[in-house]
Amino acid sequence: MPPPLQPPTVTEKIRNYLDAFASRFTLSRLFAVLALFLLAVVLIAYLIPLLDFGRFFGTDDYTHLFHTEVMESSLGISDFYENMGGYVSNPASGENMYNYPFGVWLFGGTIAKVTGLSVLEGAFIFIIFFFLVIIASFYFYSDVFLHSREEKILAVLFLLCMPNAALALLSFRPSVFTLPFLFVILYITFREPFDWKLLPIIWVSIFAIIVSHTGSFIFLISFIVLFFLLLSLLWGKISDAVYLVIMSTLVIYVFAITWFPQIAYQYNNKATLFLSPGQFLAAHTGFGLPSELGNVFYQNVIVNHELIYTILLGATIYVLAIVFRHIHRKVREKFRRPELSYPVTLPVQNISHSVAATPLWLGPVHLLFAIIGYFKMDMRGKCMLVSAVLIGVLPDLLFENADSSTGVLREISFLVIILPIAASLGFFAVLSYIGTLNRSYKKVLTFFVWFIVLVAVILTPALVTTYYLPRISGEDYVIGGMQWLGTNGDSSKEVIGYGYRTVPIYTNMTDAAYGVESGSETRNLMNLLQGSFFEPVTGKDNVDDLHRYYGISYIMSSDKIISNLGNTSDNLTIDRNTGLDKIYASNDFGIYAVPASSETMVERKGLTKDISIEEIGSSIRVTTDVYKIVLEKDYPVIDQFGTPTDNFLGGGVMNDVVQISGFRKQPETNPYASPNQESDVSTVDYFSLNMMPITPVINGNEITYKTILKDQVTGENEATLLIRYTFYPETVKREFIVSNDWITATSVPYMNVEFSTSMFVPQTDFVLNGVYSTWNRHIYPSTDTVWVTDNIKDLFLYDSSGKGIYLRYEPTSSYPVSMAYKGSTLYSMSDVIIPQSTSLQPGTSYHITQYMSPGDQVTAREDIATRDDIRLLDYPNGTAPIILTGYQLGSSGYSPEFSPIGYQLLREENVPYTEILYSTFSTENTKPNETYTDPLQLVLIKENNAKVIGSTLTGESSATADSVSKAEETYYNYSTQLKTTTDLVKYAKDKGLHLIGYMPNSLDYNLDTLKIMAEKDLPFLVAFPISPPYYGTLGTRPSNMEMARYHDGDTDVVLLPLQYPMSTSLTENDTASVFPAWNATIDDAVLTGGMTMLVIQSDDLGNPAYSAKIRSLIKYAKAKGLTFTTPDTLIDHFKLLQNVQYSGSVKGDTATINVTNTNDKPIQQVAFSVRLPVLTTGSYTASTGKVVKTVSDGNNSVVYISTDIPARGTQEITIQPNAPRKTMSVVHAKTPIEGPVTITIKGEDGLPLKGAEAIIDQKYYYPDDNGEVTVDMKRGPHTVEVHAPGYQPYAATLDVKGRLYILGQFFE
Amino acid sequence: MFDRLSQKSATDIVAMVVVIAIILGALTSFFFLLIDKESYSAIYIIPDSIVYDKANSSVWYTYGVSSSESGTTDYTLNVYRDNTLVKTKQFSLRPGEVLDERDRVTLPPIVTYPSKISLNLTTKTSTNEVHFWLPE
Repeated sequence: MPPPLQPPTVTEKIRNYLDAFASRFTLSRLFAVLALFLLAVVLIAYLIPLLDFGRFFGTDDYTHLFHTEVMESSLGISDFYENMGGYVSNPASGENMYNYPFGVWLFGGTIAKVTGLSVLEGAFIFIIFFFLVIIASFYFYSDVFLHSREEKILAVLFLLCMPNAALALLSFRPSVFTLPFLFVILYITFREPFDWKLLPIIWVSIFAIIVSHTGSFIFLISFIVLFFLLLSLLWGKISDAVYLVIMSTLVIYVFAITWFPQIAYQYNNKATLFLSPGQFLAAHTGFGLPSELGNVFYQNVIVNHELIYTILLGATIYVLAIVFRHIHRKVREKFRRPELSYPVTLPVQNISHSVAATPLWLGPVHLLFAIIGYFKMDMRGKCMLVSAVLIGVLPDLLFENADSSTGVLREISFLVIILPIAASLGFFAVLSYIGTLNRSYKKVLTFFVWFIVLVAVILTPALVTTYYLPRISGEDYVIGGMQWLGTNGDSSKEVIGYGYRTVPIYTNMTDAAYGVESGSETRNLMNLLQGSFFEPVTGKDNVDDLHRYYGISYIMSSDKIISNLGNTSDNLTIDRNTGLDKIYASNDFGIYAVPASSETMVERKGLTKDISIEEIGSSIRVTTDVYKIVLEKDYPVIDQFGTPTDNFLGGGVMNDVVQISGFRKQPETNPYASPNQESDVSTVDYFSLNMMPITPVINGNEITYKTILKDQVTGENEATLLIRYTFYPETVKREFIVSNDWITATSVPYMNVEFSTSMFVPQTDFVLNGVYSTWNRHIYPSTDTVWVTDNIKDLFLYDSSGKGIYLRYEPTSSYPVSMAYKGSTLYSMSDVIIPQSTSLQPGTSYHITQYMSPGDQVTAREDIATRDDIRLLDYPNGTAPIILTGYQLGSSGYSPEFSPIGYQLLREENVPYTEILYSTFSTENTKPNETYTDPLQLVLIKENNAKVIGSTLTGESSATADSVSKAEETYYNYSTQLKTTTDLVKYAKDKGLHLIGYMPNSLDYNLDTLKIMAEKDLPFLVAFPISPPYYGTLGTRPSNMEMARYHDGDTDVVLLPLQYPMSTSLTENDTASVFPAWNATIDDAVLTGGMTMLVIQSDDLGNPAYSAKIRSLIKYAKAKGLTFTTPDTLIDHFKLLQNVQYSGSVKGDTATINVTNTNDKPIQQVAFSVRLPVLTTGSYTASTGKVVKTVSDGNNSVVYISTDIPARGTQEITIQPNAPRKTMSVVHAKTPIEGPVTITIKGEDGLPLKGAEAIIDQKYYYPDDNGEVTVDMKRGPHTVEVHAPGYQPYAATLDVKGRLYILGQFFE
Repeated sequence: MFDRLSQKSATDIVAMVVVIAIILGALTSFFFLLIDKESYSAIYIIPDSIVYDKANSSVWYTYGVSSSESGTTDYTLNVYRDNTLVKTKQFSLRPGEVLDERDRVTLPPIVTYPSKISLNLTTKTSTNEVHFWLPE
């Protein structure tokens, strides 16, 4: 009787289900069981914990996510790198984190774009699917060594439970992203027979690895080379397939790095490990050849990407394999036991303490079974296991202390390619062995072995994903705080959570710690953070500096951050820091904000279409297509300067210093007093602009900082300092004006001013254009300073890329005469200081003008030239004026009989003349002492309509007037000077003369004198003496009039220079020292365009001993183009010019000037000089006004234009060639492909066009002798302009296509 | 591979082990996912919500309390002005609840600057504090 039907037990139900499942898919029951277990492991140990956690495991993931977000918002790879440049302090540095293989970012960004999901969501879904891809690809790859499905699925299970794999497989990281590509390469390479049709898949996979992960590439090339050599040495085989992969990898590397040079730094840096074996051998054996070969390989293949060396390397490897095979055969023949050469033991016993943890991370169970499995593998598997172990473990054993060891090869994670497979083989070998036992406990033993393995398989990843990873990924309350800030904070501000990589992802703000250069910049950030957290007294100052220097508005705090800062919470004082409000708190995590009241963030954008000025926090950022400059808002110094994407100051600084001296005397040294009793009062007032808070005024394209410099001992006003930045689309103009307009001294009126610009910059080379020479120098690290002595016109500081900062001095003052430089011995930085100095008389100013532009030398120079090549001239009609004046001293040397002859000479030469009428007055008696005024002279002055300048004493103890050196002067007080001046004016009036100006006796005056001149309506004052130029200094010192300044304001008085010597220095026996000096003065004026005022008394003009020479001098001046005039004519013009504004630019052979007269009356003969290229035919013409002269200047012509502007009128003047323009031919590929693109420029005659310049993407290029310009262009639109003198300009936009476009065309 | 052990028997052993392993794995995962869960609270002041009305000697601000605790939690909020307790509030929140409130602190006629307004949130297990400074 059959047993009654029983409901099936649970075990039976499972068994039935498995049977049904297996039979349905024609699977073995064991495979079905293991497949279901795999599903359970994937769900329980991986996916459910990940979904429950709800965000990414790990920390590196968030850095990659940040880069992926930027990639997603970029238009292409080059756009991505440009965008990333905005996040870092030094975009030129290869150390920036974004100069990393970008494959995973590109893939993640593309997923987000294609799906429309956010990067965070897209990447999260991606890692889940990619996890399944890894499992599937490994399953198929294991087919190379495993034959049954059960073995393969168990290998997958072994993979999933390797602790290091469990930690990483659900990560958004390049090392994980490359795994399937690695499996594909190995699968195709080791699968027999080799399928050549699949070779392109290998190439694509290699390329994907190279652009995604440096470590994977280094592992791949190391592994396959070692495999190839070991196979030949130990097994006597040469694998063509493996060799093909070696060569493919090397060649694809060369091309990939050439196409994507941004990632080269990573390879250059990490591949130094290839040098380690050679260095190890050289150090331990003295055999240096491998080291040399390593260097050759590293330099020429890795760094320089030279294909020929790549081929040579490939040939060397192949020859080496042949030699190894030969050795193998010889050994085999000798011992006749080939198996003896098998490596039967792994170098496990050699593992040092530092890698003792390796079995733990690989999995002890795996290792145990893998050792057994080793003996079950074929020679490929054995060789692969040995190679992988050597690659993964050996570097750590050998190069434990080598700095070049990057850790990439010490990563044992790449053992996933073989360890799970070996373990699977070993496991089934053990089971098979158990099956052979005739023991009753065989089942128990089988159960036990399975139990150990399967429990380990599921528990290991479960523990990793549910316990370990969440803890290292950051606690929920920390992430919650960041998300709260992302929702409630201002996303335009910067935040720092020092050590948290999740910051930019969850706050949606810029992480201020990202991109901070290592070295001084990082140390400074750390110091300020530590000060903010732990300094109770200076905490607020540190916060202010964090806000000022790094733009930080939010600071996070937690136990982890405190630990990162090297301190403990016991020392925390941040809650007492009055510079921070704590706005969020949860457990140990807090968020602090810089209070809104101390924020000064007002944003103003879009000054013009070419220039944007933004006030951001404590900075002012000005951006054009050519440059980006960041000024400190409240300090007149530059924080950043460079192209829109590169900050050429890097982590360095640029600062300017003003030093003032001359008003305090050094106390006399008392030799009997001890040093401690000596006064240490400095005679110099030192003003470092980075320490001087000044509120700026922004007006149009100008930012002006103005302040009054105080005497640092008395605290009294000393001088006015004005710093003006003018922003043009191509260049920045910096003006520094120090005015001696406050000190009304009774003695020593001179103010000595030293101004210096100092730079601590990453550039290591410079080109200095001086008046006498051009200096090309490399700046070597040194503790000593090197000086260059020359009149400095231009300085170009550059780095190895040929880019840097161009600085040009405009001669509004004398050029600096020296520059000091030295390289830092601590950092890759250079110290450069350019000092310059002058002495200022009362009311005068030291006006220093610098132009700055970034880029390569040619482009930066041309960018500056667009503005600097147009100058408004001080004098009418583009003339260089010369004034002849007499000086009625009435001295004993005066010969009145010659004066009429002198006037006759002037009439004959048609030279207007001015007389200086000197009278002394008693300060007590208002009656003038007329003994100095010859009545005959007065008659002559009137008869000849000579203009008269009045002159009196301004104090006691004046030095003689014909001496440049000044004796100490004691000035009359204001009322006395007023009285003497009033008497002078009255005296002149009584004599029927009109005073057009004033000259203080000996040119000694103080601010009271200027004030009186303004009150008496005397429009000018002959103020400062100019020595004749010495040999070699010709043309270096402008000699111009300037508006006198008084108490931080312009007066209506103009100050004039006076050239020495006077004719009173003439003696009949010695004219040789005077006439050459006057000739040199005239030569100087021709070069500088400055004004000349010579004192030649009328009796000297008529003196037969001199008159012929003076007549020659006059003719010489006229021949040189100087125009004789009188001061009043110049003064009127100069005063009107103060209300004339202009802007202009030069492009090719065309200049445009826009000029406005804001005076209420017209101004005549306003003149400009414009530097333009020399024309081969025709000349230049002006659309408004006229060209008054053209002067040749090397390859350029300086064109002088003069125009009349009506009252409150505006004119636009275009200067261009008057001949019809010719047409150039510009040839380039119809559809250029990214890479080198050649443009050919030819003239109408079909010959290369000389003098042409091409402006491609704002950068200047000059064609070579063939008329060709070759530029490396990235994919996308590129603007091209070509200019040549006399030719119609060419402008176009090239749409450069990616390399894949060629493939598209091919298929079309 | 199971030479002397029948396939069926061997597979039964494996199936049994698989079931046990899955149970162990599931228990481990669920323990850490469900039982070993973080619970926390947070207090915050909305940035830019602080308005210092000097004329009326009062300061306005918006604060919030967020509960991510495992159960209903009782809170005590103490507001201090320069270490002087100026007000106290008690309330309860359930898991996932958030309290947002606009509040005001009245200042004495004479204030020493900078003056610190501090909000101290306590539960049975934790204390969290946020604050802001009143500038002169």
